[in-house]
Amino acid sequence: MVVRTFLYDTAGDPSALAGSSFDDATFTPLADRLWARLDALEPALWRGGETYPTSQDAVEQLYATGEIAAYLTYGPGTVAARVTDGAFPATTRTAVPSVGNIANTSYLAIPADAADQAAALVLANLLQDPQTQLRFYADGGIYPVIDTDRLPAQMRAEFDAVALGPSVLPLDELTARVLPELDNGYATAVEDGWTAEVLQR
Amino acid sequence: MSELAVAQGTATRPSRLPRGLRIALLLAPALTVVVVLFGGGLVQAVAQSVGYQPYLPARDLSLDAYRALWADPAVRASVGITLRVAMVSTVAAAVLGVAAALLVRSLGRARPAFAALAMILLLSQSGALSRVAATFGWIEGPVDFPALTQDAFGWGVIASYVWKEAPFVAVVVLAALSSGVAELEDAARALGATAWQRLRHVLAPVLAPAVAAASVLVFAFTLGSYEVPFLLGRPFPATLPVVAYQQFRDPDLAARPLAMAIAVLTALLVGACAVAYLALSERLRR
Repeated sequence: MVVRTFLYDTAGDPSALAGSSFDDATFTPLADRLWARLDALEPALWRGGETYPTSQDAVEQLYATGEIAAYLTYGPGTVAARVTDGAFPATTRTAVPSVGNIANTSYLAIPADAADQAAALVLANLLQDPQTQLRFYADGGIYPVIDTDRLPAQMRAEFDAVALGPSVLPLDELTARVLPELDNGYATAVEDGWTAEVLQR
Repeated sequence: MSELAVAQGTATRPSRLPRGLRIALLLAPALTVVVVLFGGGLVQAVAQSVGYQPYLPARDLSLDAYRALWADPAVRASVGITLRVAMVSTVAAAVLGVAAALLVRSLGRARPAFAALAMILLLSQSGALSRVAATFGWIEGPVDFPALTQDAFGWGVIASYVWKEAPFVAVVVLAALSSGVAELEDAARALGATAWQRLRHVLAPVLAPAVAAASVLVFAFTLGSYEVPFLLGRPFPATLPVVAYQQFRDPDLAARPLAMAIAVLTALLVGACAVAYLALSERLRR
């Protein structure tokens, strides 16, 4: 996600990539600039860019212990709980990069040959029930996947009443400049390219 | 010895089964586990490495994955660091284990994942040692502490393996030491042997087979172990089991043969080291 955000920023205009399927003629010149940029960035990265952490958990652990000063995440709301329980410094603040932030929604997929399709549908309904979504949001900082505008007024007020604390931006600011996920072809090309051009260099 | 044991067995519980069949039946439970779990896994790994994937559209079996092995920079970089980590860990564990057995004669045990996590807490740039050093003003902050986890050489991984395996070597050596070695040493001393001569001509020959056996097990374990290098090592270059798992987790099922080929390569390396051990122990026994 970090590298894809940088790709968006390197492109300058997100609409050059967003929503279109993979195009080698667009990607290759862009990628060359992207790798050069990430190379130049290395002195500012953890361990001077000599190696990279292997998971989001590892990144957040480095932030918690003070080895790094900032990181990117898909779950800005979860930061609040980490600040409350003291894992993250109280001065932690979320911010949106100037290019915008890649965001998506959690999805559920039921395999075509699932043994208990009906039960899976019941579970899916339960997970997107407004009550469940409210608890995800209030207790875990996981943003609702449902359109709260379409809820009854009282339920909506409960969502509005959730306060994640000063470390997290309000939902409207977080979603003001949302970028869509890139086409799968781009995602794979970014991953393979980063491994070959940055990690293995 | 064995005749006596058989005689006793016959006395307490008469059996009409031929001796060979009885031994086979007695060994069957243990052998079944080994053959089914290890042999089955190995067969499946080899099958998938040549492209046997019945859940995908049918295609011809091929050795493409093995050709791709050497072309893959991750694998190429991996062989060196895997052998280096395994060898340094084994030698260090053997030396420390023998020393510990000779000196203390009792040590604790630890689990590998626990040891790896302990190493992160101890050795990382924001770990316990770093904090102690900062408290005493030896270093300014986490960045000044030498990088011992996720380092280029693999010191963190090696430290974790030595921590776990040195006691194992020590236990094996202690077992070898208990079998009448003290009497041999006394006899040598009575005949005028110096401390060095006793070590060289009495202790070394007695301990060599035990140390060699323990070292082979340690080497095979460190070569094939996943969790310690995953937690303490770098994503690149990573050890073979870590690279194999990276490929195994690829959502593209076409990467599976390569993952299995790496696993087979790891098994071959361990197998070669076991064969080398058998040859070595034959020579030591003579």
